[in-house]
Amino acid sequence: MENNLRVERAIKRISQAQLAEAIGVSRQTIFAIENNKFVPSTELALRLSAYFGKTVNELFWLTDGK
Amino acid sequence: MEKKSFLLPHCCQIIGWWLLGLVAVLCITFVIISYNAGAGAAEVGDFTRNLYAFGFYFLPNIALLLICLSREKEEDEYISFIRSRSVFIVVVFGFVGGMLLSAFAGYSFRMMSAEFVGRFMMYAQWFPNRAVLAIVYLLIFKGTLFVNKLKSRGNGE
Repeated sequence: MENNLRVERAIKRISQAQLAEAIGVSRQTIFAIENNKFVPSTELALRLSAYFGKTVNELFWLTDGK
Repeated sequence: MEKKSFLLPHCCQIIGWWLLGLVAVLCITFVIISYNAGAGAAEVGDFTRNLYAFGFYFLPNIALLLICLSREKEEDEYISFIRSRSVFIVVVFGFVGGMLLSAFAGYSFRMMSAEFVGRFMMYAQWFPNRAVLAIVYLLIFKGTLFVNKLKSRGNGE
């Protein structure tokens, strides 16, 4: 699975630490998600999408194109 | 969605680390006392001996239990993921390692000398030892957190 969290974060001009604080997770979690080391839970994905004002599908997608 | 955590509060981890520090101090003082007692080690006395038995056996186990079962300062799902992975590795380490060593010991009984087997089993019994497993778990878990912290520094702005 991949995501464009880094791009959305750059658009909003916020750091990983700021995003992590806003979402209620650690900075390491945001770093791991952006680098595809960790797949967030449904709850976390929904929180991120609500924060950026996007749908979950706009933030995350499967790598096989489905 | 509120999640119930079975982990102890973070303050328990701090208590655990302090207890380990106390154990270290007890070890050092015991070494000093034993060195000074020398040939008269029997003079150390029952009370002191029992105190150190408490310090060397009971305290470290309690301390490691508190540390391993306590939350991190920032506990989220990624930290929980690393924790689960560390537990898995430790289970494999203890279970499979112990199994392989037992199999090797059974084989070596026929092929090696009794002295070698005895010495081998003396070291092999440390594999499933709970303190060793707890230390291995902490090394893996804390080590992973530390490495991730280093990697994520300067990469998020």
